[in-house]
Amino acid sequence: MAQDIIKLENVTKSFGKLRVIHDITVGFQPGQVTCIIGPSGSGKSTLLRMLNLLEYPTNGQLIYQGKPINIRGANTQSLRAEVSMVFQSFNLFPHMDVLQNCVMGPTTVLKRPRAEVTNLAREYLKKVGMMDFVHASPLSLSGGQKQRVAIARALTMKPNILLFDEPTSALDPELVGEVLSVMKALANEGMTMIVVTHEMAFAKEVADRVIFIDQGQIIEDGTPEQIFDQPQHKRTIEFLKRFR
Amino acid sequence: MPQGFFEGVWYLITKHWFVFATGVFTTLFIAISGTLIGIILSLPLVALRVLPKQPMDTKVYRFFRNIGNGFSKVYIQVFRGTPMIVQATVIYYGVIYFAGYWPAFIAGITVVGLNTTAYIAEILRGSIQAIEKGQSEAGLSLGMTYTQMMLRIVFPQAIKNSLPAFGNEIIVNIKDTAVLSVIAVSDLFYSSRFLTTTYYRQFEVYFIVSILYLIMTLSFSALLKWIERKLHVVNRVSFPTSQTTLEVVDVSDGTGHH
Repeated sequence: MAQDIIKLENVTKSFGKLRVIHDITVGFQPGQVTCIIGPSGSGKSTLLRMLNLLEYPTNGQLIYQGKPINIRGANTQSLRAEVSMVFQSFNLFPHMDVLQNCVMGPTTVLKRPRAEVTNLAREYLKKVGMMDFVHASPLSLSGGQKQRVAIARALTMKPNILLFDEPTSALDPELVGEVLSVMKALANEGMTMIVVTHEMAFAKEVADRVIFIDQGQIIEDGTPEQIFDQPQHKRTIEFLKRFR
Repeated sequence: MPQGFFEGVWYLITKHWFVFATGVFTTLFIAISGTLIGIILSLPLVALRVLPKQPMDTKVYRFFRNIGNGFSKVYIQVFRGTPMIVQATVIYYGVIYFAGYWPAFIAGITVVGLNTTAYIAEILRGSIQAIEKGQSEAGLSLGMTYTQMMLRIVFPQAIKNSLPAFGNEIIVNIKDTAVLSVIAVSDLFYSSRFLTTTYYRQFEVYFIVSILYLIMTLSFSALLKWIERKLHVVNRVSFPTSQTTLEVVDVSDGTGHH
């Protein structure tokens, strides 16, 4: 087995008195697609957000490429530059056009030359099928289009890991497919992806690994076949019943 | 001077138009430059107000953040909590007391500027807080520092959403410069007053003055509406050439206007 590219070690997270993550240790392999499933409020989004420090662990450590991340140091920013996030509500910048949305990160954070980044952004926008919209305002796009731009924006950073926080939950049902097919294409290219999702069919088809979380703990962790076809734990069985 | 209201008004306008014109000019100059000063100074003031609080902050940083925060808070409370006519006297005579004479005209611009700073800082703070949390998270998750994220993501949107309120401040200031007459700034109100002592026709003089204020405020409000519309057009969607249907989005949303 390859070394974990990113790992949470004995991590707890509390919001005030509410403890949402209980002493979780979990690592992720490069090139793998992991889907994190679980009921709402189970802590799965919090777990994901700790992987690029949008939430700071209350206790425990985040280890990236074998090195612990010191949250007091400036490497929070360099970690985030290499671990990109795609959000449920897209969070595109409304005061910039589609292309500028993608170009902003690499030019300001990585200080890469604008011309080079622009070409790269166009390439990724083409990949997600948004080439015709480079100069459109995000406000004029449908949800599915916004999410595809958000994916292109994350890709233009050339990240090592792509995090998805319920990327299709805010979409109209007929727009879910276009986003999932982009994600599927990325998975086939070997992108390391960690996806919090309620799309069980997607998890079953695309994921190399599925993690079921409930009440801030990892209940089951295995291949899609293990989790979906032979779930061991009572809570997993009950949760999956609702998706049958 | 002829008897009769309209004759009197006509006489004053034709004979003393220069007094009114310089008054209008002075009022507009103080109001506009004061508002511009307010916009510029409010930016650092509001920046002090929104310094980040994070678990890994050092003690030194926390100390200076609290000082900055406190200064900003107190400044806003003092200037919004006292009448501008009082601020004018305190600042004008205060400077004279400690540093010696300074021109009332400069004092007037200073007072309007410092006063507007407080109001605009409060408007900006509201706009900043109204920007969705997802925007700052998206900026941070790209690896931006807090400062980069604020300057490139949050401030531009907050300022754009505040533009109508900035416009309102100019209009408010056009009217409120009248209180500067207390420190003898020769704005429209103050400079017309000497006409009343010459002719003892107070009503006619102040009638003209009020019409002139009305013309100023109404034309500014029309100008600002026009600018706003222009700005929205700039932001309006450029429709791409594609078979995909686009939702029509009212881009004026979020500013609370139209």
